[in-house]
Amino acid sequence: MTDVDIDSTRWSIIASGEGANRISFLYYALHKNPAIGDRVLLLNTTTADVKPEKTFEYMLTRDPNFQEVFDSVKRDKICIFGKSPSGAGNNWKVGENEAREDFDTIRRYISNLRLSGRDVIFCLTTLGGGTGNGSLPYLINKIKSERGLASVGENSFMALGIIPYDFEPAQRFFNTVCGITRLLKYGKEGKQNADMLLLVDNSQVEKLLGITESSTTERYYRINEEIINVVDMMIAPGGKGAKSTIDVADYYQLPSNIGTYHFTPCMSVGNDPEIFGIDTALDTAVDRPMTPIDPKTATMAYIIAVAPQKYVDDGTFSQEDFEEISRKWAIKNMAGSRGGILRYSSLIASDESKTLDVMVLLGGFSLEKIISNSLQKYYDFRESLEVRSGEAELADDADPRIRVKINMKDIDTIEDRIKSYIALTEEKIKQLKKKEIDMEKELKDWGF
Amino acid sequence: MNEYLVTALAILISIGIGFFLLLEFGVSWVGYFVIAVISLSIIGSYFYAWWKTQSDKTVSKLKVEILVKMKNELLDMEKVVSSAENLMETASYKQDITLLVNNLIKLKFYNKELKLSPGVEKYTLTFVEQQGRMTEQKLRTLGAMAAGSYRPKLDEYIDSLRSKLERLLEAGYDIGRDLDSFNAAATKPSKSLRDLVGKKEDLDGAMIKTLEKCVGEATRLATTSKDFGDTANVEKEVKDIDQSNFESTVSHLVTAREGIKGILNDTFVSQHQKLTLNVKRAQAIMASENVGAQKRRDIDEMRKALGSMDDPGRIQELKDLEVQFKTFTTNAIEDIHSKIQKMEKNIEFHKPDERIWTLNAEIPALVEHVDISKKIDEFSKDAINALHALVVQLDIDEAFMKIIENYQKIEPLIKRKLEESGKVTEDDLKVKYVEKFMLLYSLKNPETKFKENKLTSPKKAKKR
Ligand SMILES: Nc1nc2c(ncn2[C@@H]2O[C@H](COP(=O)(O)OP(=O)(O)OP(=O)(O)O)[C@@H](O)[C@H]2O)c(=O)[nH]1
Ligand SMILES: [Mg+2]
Repeated sequence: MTDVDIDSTRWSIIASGEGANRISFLYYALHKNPAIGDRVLLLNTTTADVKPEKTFEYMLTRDPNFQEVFDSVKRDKICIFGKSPSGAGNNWKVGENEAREDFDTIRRYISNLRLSGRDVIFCLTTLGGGTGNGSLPYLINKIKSERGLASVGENSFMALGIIPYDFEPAQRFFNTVCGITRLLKYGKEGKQNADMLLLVDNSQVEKLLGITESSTTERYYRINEEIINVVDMMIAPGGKGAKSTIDVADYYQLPSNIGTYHFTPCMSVGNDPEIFGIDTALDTAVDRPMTPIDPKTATMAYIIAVAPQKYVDDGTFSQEDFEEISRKWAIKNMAGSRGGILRYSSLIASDESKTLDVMVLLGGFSLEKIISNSLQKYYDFRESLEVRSGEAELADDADPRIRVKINMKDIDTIEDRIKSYIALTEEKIKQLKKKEIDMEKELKDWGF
Repeated sequence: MNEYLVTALAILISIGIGFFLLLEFGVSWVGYFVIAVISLSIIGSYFYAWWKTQSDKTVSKLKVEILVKMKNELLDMEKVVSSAENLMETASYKQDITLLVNNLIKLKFYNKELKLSPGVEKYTLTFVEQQGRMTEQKLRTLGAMAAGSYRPKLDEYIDSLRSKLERLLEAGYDIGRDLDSFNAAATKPSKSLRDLVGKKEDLDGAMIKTLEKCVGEATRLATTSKDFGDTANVEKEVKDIDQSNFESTVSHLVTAREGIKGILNDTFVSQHQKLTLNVKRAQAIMASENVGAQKRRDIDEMRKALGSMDDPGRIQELKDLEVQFKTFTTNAIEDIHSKIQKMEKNIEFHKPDERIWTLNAEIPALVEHVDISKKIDEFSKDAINALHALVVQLDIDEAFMKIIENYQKIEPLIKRKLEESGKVTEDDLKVKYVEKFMLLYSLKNPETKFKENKLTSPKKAKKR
């Protein structure tokens, strides 16, 4: 099979909140990919006494080359929104309200991204904070439904949410559960929000990388480096001398049809193509899911490999072999005995890459591990709320200016929504685990 | 004529005026008048005589010019026609020229020695001009006719020269370029007989140069061939060459070359075969990716050069190539050897087990043995041995480095597989050097065992 140059997908990045801003900036500074161009937007709220530079301070001192990039980013790619002088103060409700009230400011920046056609919009947020976690679900919903901002119904929204460290306080996990839910479902009717939600867990990534540094900023930096590899692999087919036969981005809307659309990336990058077969790289990748999951419950997989052009030309790697290897791998490692419900593999040959990089997006897996890690703290926080006539006041101890009311019914709705999503997930997994049909009996039933 | 008429008229008018003065004014007036007329006549005739000589001089100058030009053209044509003599019959053209000359002599334009004769004085300029133009016209016609019959003869002649050059080329002389420039010169357009004759002279000159070159080549080859057989005949052929005769020179040269071929053939063929074999061996050894692209290209080129060398007369080039092969392999050996030595330091740091990495202890001796001053056969044997050992070692070293560099990534895979099933085999792990990775793992984890390409762990496999 000969490679054809495909009309690759265009991407944009929208990042809200401090953590997400750092990740997106790092990606923008380190990887220039033509598929992204300069369609990057960093959103944040601010406290009157803190400069927006604060977020990037560590990166700028760590690598002096970033200063120049930062100066250009600052000019037109950072949007500070909100009327409150105090930021969102770890309250997602505040983050959401601020974005809604100041949407006119945000709209201008989004128009600048000139979203069109079948662009994929990569939306990043941390799940423990207030600004990103609160605003991003609202923004996805808003952009999707407001005519003129995007091609309604055509764009895909790929959300990436970062789960807090295990040791973080209860409110962070309350935020996390709400955030995951609101990224999955939003609005009065609770319709699907993002087309795909990628989950990454700080503690898990740190364990995979064997990070032992004690400085928080450096630890974030290392995790963020790993996360931008994910961003890079997702966008890979769109540039950097890349050639592939399939652009997986064309298939990112499929999970919506199935009804479950949460994923986690599994990475194995920097492999020596002389040593590693694709099978081994694939194994290594799936050994390293960026969220604690049981791969045996995964029902969907997007498998992307980037190999140096040379090794594709000489036949060491080929799309056909890759598909066959993926198929075998899926049968052995995914839910059920038939290799899950949905699987796409794409081999990308790149002039610029020297290593064999593999990313597997595993999806539809059981959320049990993630939820069980959060549930205790979620309830701890929920129960600490003082409810008066159906409403609770979320206050920030650190900043008395922040006060916001939240209706307990809304919390219940969120809980119901995630529960029904979980139920559907489990049902899909169970379906796959069921024995194969009794063909003889079925055929008879079908009239043969 | 007019001069007399004017004079007569002037006299008659003077006499008339004299009578009139006599009748009207008397004798004294006539006296004055006569004196005036006489004085005027004297002045007038003086001026006339001056003017007359002046114009006569210009006319005779013009005549001389025409006559000189005519003479030159005649002589020139005669010369050109004479030099065309060796390719065509020129008698009739010469005769025509003689006729023309004789005619002019008869007219007393020239004397017998073709010097300008004073007899021309009696002719007017116009007449001389007429004769000049006529002669020129006749010469032009004659020249065109001569060129017309010369051209096909010249073409024939050029063909014969060309075929001689081709014979020499075919015999093996290195004159490909000479032939090319000969053909270029031969096809240059030329119109007049003079151009055609000039072209022949140029081509003859080129031919002579080429022949000299070939004679030089033959002499050189005869000397080189002395080591390989009796060259007496060849030398005689070369000595007998009389370069004024193209045909015989070419025959001698061709025969000499055949003789040389006969003498050199066996030697050339066997040396060519041997070198080809050695180059092929080196090429096969150097096929390893680790040797580097430049070296592979160099040896490939040598092989190509050998392939296109099939004439025993090129034995010198074959010798040059032998030298080139010697230098190349010597350099390659040095290069790879120092690379290996550098890597060894790095490798020794890891204290590798001998099942993962071994060092061929004979390498220094093998390399030492390679001596560029030895005869080609012996040299090649040593060099190929050393090169082979070196490249094998290089591959082992590079593989080891790869194993060390990648072990960190492979280790968790092996560990997981061991935990899953208590054993790992080649089929479980799709990586290059899989046994070595397993072996290394077993060395680092003494509780595991690596035997017969199988890694086992005594711990019971965990259920996943
Ligand atoms: N991986 C990663 N996580 C981060 C980073 N910065 C913060 N976090 C995590 O994100 C959560 C805090 O979210 P932030 O992004 O700081 O908050 P925000 O969106 O700015 O919202 P505010 O609460 O208004 O500040 C915590 O769980 C942190 O562990 C980062 O640079 N990288
Ligand atoms: Mg913040």
